[in-house]
Amino acid sequence: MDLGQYDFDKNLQKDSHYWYEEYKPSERGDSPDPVVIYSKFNANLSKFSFLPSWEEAVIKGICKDKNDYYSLLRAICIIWSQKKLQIYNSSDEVRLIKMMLILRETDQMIGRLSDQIIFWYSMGMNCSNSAHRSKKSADLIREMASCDERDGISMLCCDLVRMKESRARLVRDISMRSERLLPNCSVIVGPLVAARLLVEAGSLKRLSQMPASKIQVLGARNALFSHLSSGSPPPKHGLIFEHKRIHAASRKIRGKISRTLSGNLAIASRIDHFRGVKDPIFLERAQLRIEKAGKKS
Amino acid sequence: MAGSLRIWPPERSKLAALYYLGSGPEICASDQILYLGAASGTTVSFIADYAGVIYAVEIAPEPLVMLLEVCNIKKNIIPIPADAALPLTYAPLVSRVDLLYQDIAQKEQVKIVLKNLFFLKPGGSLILMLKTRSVASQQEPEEICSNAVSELLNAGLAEIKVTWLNKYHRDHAAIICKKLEK
Repeated sequence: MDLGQYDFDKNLQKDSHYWYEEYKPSERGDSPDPVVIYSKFNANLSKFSFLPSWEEAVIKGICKDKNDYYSLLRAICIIWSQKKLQIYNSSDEVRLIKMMLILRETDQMIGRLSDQIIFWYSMGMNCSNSAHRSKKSADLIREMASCDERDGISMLCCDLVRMKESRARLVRDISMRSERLLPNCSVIVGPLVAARLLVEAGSLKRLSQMPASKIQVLGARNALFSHLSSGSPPPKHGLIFEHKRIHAASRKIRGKISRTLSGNLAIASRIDHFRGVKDPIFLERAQLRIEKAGKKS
Repeated sequence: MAGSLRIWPPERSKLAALYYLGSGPEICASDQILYLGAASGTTVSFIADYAGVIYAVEIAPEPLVMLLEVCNIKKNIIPIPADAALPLTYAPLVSRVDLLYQDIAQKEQVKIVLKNLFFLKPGGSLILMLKTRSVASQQEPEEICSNAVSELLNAGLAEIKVTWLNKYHRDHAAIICKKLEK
């Protein structure tokens, strides 16, 4: 929609049809219903003329006065906004992104809280730092949760243990949604990493429009910009590093695998966006390509 | 809060900062305003106290929720859930306005305001809150601002006045200008 090409005067003069003219005033003289008027155009305003004025609406007998006109318009716009929000809130994509944000927050909270509790524990035990560091923090928390003394800290430990269970459940829910929304990407990098890519890209549409080289370094923003501005080595991988094929590989071939992986992810995200179903033939080929990249060295 | 009055803090609202610095235009009770980039409706709610009708354009869903809450209190705000860069999508609902206010931190900020210029009555004024860091992070703010001013001049706007809001908002410039009478 370029305004430069649009003929305004034509729109303004020739057979003008303003939004309020959708409403036919009845003989009974009841006031216009915003819900009915909204349903007439349903967010598609393209058939109406531009720049309506309240004076004309009053002359045409739709509204009593200026205030009447604006309160009608306001009611319609509020319905429009609410409809728009409804569509946004019910989108699977948005829900998945919000769930990922909750997961990120949960992880941060669990991490910070257990750090502080272990620090507190090591103070009370009067043991040197290295003694309890050898123990895994998760084990320590579990141990403290099961101790008989019911003080605040041990109750918090119980909460932490339960929190971890809830987190595992959340991850399962996310995986399910992600496999439904990103069927091809989920097979290639796993549902969780696929969902992270989605969060980083912002939407599936944007992810599907990204070049493979961008998907490769998605989530490595700082490294990429420090490369561009000060010439440090470029990042080989961003989020996709979390996939086991990359972080299990030896350092030398990581770059190669992540290039292949992101190339296939770019195709997979396009299939996910435009078709939305699994493509077994593509997936088989993609797996072969990725394996081949890992073998040659 | 001071009794039933509200404080309009210049740190939170760029328009308030502009008035604190002494160069905001007068808003009268009969004015119609088109506000692009309404966000969560803080500044909108203050303008609504002075203006007649205010069209608040905002596309992002999360701020829109807050904007609708503000709409419930102020009866003269008309929320428009559309993209300010595509004025044709809401042009059938918006009348000619006396004041065009734009506060969108985007690279294309000046282009967006020029696209919306046809809503403005001849003789009406335009306030553009230019966030220079969004236009280009490497360029000098003064240079970006003078580019924007020359673009506005080319589009036929006059009486351009630039106020830097550096005291309250870093690297923000308020550009006030007038659309010429035909």
